[in-house]
Amino acid sequence: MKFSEIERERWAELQPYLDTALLPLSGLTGKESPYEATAALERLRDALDPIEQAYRGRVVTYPALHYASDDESLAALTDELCERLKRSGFRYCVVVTGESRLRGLTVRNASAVLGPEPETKEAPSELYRSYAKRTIEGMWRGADA
Amino acid sequence: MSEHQQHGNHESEHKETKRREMSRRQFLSYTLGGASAFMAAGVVIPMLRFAVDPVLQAKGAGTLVKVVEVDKITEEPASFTFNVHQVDGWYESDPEMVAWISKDADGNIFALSPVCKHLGCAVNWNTNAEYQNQYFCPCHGAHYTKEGKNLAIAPAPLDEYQVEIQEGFVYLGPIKPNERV
Repeated sequence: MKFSEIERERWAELQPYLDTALLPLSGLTGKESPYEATAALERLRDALDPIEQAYRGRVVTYPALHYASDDESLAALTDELCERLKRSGFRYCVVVTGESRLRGLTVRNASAVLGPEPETKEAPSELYRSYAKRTIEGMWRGADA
Repeated sequence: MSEHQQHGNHESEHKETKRREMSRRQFLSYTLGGASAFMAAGVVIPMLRFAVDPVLQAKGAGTLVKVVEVDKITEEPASFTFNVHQVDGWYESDPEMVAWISKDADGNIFALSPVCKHLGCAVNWNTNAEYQNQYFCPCHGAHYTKEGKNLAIAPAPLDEYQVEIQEGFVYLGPIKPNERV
């Protein structure tokens, strides 16, 4: 579920079940025109939707990280945020991006970095859905085993 | 009749006539008040009508959505996606829905919602080796029978869709509590 759906009174009851933080990355640089920024946010939504719908009871989507001067500083900031999220009680931090160029981002503290494959015709593609499913459920199974 | 009585009658008639008269002040008050109320109603009524318009719209017959041919349904549950047109006040949307549709032992078609009754993840059919031929939730391990009966973790059975068969197609309606278990 989204961070905004969780009320203060319910957090203590839900926290044991919600062990995975989703950190969305839009990958904007500030050089985008308004319509390009809109398209980037739509791609991010398309990448997030299948994960939020399928795993609503175990993931918490945090507010997105939008701007960074370059991919290197974005990776450093994302890494720091994942580390803080884990320190705050989440067992996993999954980074989700709508940009295929950020799929390969090296984030040491992230449990996984998910993004669409290049040249995706439809969003979200079946390939992305099954890749996200395999990654997330494999991550949970591996830890539970 | 005595002169005195005649005189008395004249006086009372005169008084009654005087009571029925409307003063200029009253006439102006009524006229201006009525005109103001008429003009105010002319402004307010269209606004009210606009505000309640979605409530007054006739509900379409389209609460049922055509999903799949009857021939494609077997005893093995399969998932099907379909879009439902939703109107929430002035906001209209077509969210994608998923249903697990199968036949029971008597050949009756039924459709279950994939939303786990524990915390709302999506269940899948027969994906866990430990729970063969059951619905399994990947989030916290809730599992259900083919009819949607909750076996562990979840506090309630999977919800059902209203099902209708028309001209060889399965139509699904609103979600309702499971009546099969």
